[in-house]
Amino acid sequence: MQNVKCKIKVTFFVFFIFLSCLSHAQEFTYEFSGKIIEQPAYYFLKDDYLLNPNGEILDFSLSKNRFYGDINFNLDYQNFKFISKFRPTVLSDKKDTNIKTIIDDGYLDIGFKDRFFLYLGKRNIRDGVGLGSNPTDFLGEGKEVDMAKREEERRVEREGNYLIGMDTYFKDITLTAIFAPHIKELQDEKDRVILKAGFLMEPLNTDISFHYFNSSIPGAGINISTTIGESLVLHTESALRWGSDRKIVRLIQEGSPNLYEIYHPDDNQTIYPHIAAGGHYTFKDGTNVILEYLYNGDGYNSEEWNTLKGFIKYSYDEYKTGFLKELMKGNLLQANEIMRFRELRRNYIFARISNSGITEKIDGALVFLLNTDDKSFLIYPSVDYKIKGNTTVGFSAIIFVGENDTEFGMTHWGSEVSMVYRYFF
Amino acid sequence: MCKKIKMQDSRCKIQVLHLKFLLATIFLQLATCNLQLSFALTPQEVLEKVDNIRAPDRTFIFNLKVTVKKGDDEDVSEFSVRVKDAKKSLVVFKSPPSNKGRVLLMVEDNMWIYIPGTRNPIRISPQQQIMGRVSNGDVARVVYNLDYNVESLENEGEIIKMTLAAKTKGAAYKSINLWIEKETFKPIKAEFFALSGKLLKTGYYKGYKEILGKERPTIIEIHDGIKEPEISIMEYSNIKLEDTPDAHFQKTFMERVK
Repeated sequence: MQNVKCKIKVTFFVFFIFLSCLSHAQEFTYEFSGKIIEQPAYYFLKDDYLLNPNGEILDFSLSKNRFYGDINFNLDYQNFKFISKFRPTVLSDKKDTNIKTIIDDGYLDIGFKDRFFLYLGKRNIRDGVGLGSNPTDFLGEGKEVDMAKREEERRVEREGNYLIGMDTYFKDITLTAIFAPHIKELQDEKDRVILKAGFLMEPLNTDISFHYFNSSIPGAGINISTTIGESLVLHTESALRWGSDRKIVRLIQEGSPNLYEIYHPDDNQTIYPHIAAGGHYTFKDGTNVILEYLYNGDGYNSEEWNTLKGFIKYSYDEYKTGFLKELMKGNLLQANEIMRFRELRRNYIFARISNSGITEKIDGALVFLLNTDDKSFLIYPSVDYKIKGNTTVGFSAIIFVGENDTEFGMTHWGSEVSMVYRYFF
Repeated sequence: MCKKIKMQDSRCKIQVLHLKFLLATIFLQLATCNLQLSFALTPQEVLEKVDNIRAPDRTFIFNLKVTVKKGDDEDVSEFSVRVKDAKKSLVVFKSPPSNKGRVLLMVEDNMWIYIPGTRNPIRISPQQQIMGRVSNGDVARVVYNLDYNVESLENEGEIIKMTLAAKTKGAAYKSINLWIEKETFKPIKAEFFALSGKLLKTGYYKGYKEILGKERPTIIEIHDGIKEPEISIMEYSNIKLEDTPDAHFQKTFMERVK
């Protein structure tokens, strides 16, 4: 697998150089831009909590440093475009230093008569109008994102999928078809197909799009956004999924020890709704308030959650007593795999207040995400300061609040602070 | 004798009536002149004449440089703008580097912003300002008649003062006072008012140059009505009649725009 990845990288590099050379030809135009980012983060780790008794199960670093480039290199030749976005990254923590290059985009885009566009390569397709959650962002599922980034930034710095697609534009209508195949040792997911139709209804100040997704967990979705008056935008992003990849914990037998089973329910016939619905309002002074209700159909209901909690608490207690320590450790490791700390339960409220012009140089935002099922929440304040036209510095924190057996109360750290320095070129 | 006096008296009355009629006619003519400007144009047509000076056609492109000066500080932003059928605008941010690649799309009252480095294009409300101190409408809309109705016209010698009132949600201002040259319809000065009636800014149309067959302003100097020492200079260049395909004015196309 490493070998294949290496070959891909080399091919990409050669292609890149080749295109760079061709760019000297007159018909070629190219664009090179991006940013260099230094992003240290510090974590206030917990010493002893349900998922990690005495801090012995998992070992986290107190701090991490991420130094990376977010580089765009695009070439145009008549109706051909080569678009690339990649991130050479140096990630270091107390244990080691990793150097890697993540390719978000690297694809060829061919236009026909300004109406049909065919693209082939690696591309980070992002769908959805929601902010707190994106149920119709089918191709982004399972991709690694940096949770320390602002909500709207996370999905952009995300590794793309190998795919072939076509966009067709009519007046106020866009039709899209995408095929992302399973590629041995390169793209583990099963073959995925997306069909989309987007419409603008000008007189209603509304745009709407329909999505169909075919893969191991098929889905269908709808996005609607509309402007009401001069300050309010309402939106909804909803999807139905035929099945789920969730893991359920079941108590098989009470005894000494209790026997639990973690399984994927065979429920491909069950339809799970996922909804993000809300809006944003802009006040006269530029303050923007976003409020969204998020419904996660395959999240744990009370019974499932209580069983999971019981499993974790039991394993924690027994581990502390020293009873079947290795078994309990295994249980807790499995529990840690299940915990995503986001959309684990069903009902959430997402709110964000921001102002891009607190002063001429400061842009601030405050995010609040409440799990209404167990009342735990996270707060995420962030401030960006524009030093010059090409330099900004930002500070942010994520603070988790909740009882020790709630979703956000079970996180590995109580809070996280980070700084980000960006140099644009 | 008595009859003579009576006759003279009635003639006198007739003369007075004539005089009154004449004065009324002159007054009415003056009033009509005030409203109709003796051009036989409706107020909205006058506004269209003004717009025809600002915009060379309904479909065109231009570059815009906005320099915001405040004391010793100077912020420069550059945009490339494509306008189609007067009501569709596509604004591509060229500088500073931190804003490069941003795209603002306006289709009538629908507005979207695409910010590279953030998520996909999002619908924004007209109230959301994404260009700092310059309003979205200032950059994306070059004509007034799409968003404003003429409420009144006042003759001020060689100058006409027009009062414009917002007629769409996409209008950046509640009302505008616009001063134009009576003979040429060239805009000279504009005052922009917020919903509260507060004066937001005053613009001066300058740098008239012969472009595409007409003298057109290439500079609008905007003095902030709230932050007194702040001046924004909007410089228009490379104004050309060039069509842009319909596909470019779709939300789904914004990522492709360079």
